[in-house]
Amino acid sequence: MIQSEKDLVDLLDESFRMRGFSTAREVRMLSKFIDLVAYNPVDDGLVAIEAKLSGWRRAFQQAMTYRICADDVYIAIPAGISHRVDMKLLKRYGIGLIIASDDHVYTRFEAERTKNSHARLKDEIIAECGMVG
Amino acid sequence: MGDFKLYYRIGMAAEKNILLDESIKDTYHGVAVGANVAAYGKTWVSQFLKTLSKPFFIDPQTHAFQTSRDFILKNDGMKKSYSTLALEYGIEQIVLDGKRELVPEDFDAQEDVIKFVKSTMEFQRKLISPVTGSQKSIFEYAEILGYGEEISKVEEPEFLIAPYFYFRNTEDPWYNINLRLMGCAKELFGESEVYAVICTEKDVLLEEKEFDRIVEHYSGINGIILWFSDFNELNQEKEILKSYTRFLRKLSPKDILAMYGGHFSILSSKFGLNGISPGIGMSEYKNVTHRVTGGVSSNRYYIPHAKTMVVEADARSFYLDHPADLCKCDVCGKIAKNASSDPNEFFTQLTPELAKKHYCLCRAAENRYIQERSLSEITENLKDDFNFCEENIDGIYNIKYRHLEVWLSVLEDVIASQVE
Repeated sequence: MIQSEKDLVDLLDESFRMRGFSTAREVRMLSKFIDLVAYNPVDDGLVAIEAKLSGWRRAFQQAMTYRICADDVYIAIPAGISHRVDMKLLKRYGIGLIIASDDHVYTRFEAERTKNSHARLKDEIIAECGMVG
Repeated sequence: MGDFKLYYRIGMAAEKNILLDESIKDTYHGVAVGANVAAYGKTWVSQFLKTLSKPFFIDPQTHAFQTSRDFILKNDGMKKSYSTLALEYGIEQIVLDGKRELVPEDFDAQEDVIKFVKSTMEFQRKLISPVTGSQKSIFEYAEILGYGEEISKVEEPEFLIAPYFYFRNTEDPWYNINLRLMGCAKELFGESEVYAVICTEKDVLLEEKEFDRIVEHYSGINGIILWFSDFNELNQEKEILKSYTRFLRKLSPKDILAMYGGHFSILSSKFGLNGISPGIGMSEYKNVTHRVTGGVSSNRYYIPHAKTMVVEADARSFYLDHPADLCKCDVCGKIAKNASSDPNEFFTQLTPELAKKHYCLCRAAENRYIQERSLSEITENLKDDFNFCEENIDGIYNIKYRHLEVWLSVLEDVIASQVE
């Protein structure tokens, strides 16, 4: 049962680790803190996720900023508020959507690989989190 | 109109290079220096002011020794810059030895008022020109040669500020003390040279009687500096801003400056405000009694369309999708050229110093525009900025711009009332 943002991030964290990603929480990027970062050494892809129990719009605005450092960016929200999300808006900017329900998470739609992530910022995050690049 | 004065408040020694830069020097009128900075960094401050050779004033910061002075304290006592200032002001026995704040009773005796006015204003006057016997004769000789005025212009503040304290309303005992300090300052230093600070709550603006009383009591002074605590132009309600413009109109034609201030204050030049003195890209408003601390220090960038500063990450995010809208000022134009207009590369090359220079250039351009145009033209221009933000920022980027709508509404009301 998801009762807090921490519960949500726990679920996400576990899900990415089970798929072979290295993960780190509350990762600093310039003046921001990314809820969860997941790195896939196989394709050198860095995923940034903003998790929110409510206020998907706020999550989206935060996620927009993570495009400057990550290859794939998602927002993660509980199933109960997913009907409020403007899917077209997310797709327009390539932000993926992860839905959390009880004890599992699933990807509603994939993020579009960002064209504009900055190599230096991405490398800094990978190095800072001790992920092998 | 036409000569709205931009002062920059210098807080760190590192900022002096920005203000001395030839490409920036002509974009502002002068500098404001906090008395604590001036007392603690006397050598670099006086050297800087001499080199800069532009108008300046010293904010006496006497309110800091008043109640709720937590922002001047550290764990082991008073911050060094303020204890140095207390010594300069001759109040060390109370605030350092006595370890207490100033209270209204400390000014019961007129001789204490005179002593305080003298020490705080002499400090301002003599900061970079401590007149010794030999210097005095040099000045006299320069005067005979006809250079006296030029020398004193550079060496002395543009005006002196009477010591001031924060008052909650006109019933507050500190209000009358302010009036006494101002009266004494005028007597001792001459009417033309002395400015007074009105340091209070913005709620005062909503009470017509209250501000009429203030306008009347401050009628005998040529210059006034306004400091409404926490007066963040970006989140004020329309009524407060409208009252602010009414207050300015009632106070004019004095020389009225804002102790801090941002874009709305520059717009307020149309209502009688003559200048602002924020930090460079920061401190456009300030709470009187406490300082906000903590959080992550971050580079910030001024977004010209939204008239606000945002953290670099949010600015990057916006310009990634809108590279054509990158600022075209001299600073940004050069960086954009080097970065081949790639926003990510642009922000990598944008150092904090360059971001501050960009702020100075934008402020100067906005000021120029506002002074040269009519209120209707300015309103149309602001409307364009608002529409741009509505179309391109709304709900997508972490950039605030709703204040533009409030400002527009204030300006439109003023225009409508002029037509009536």
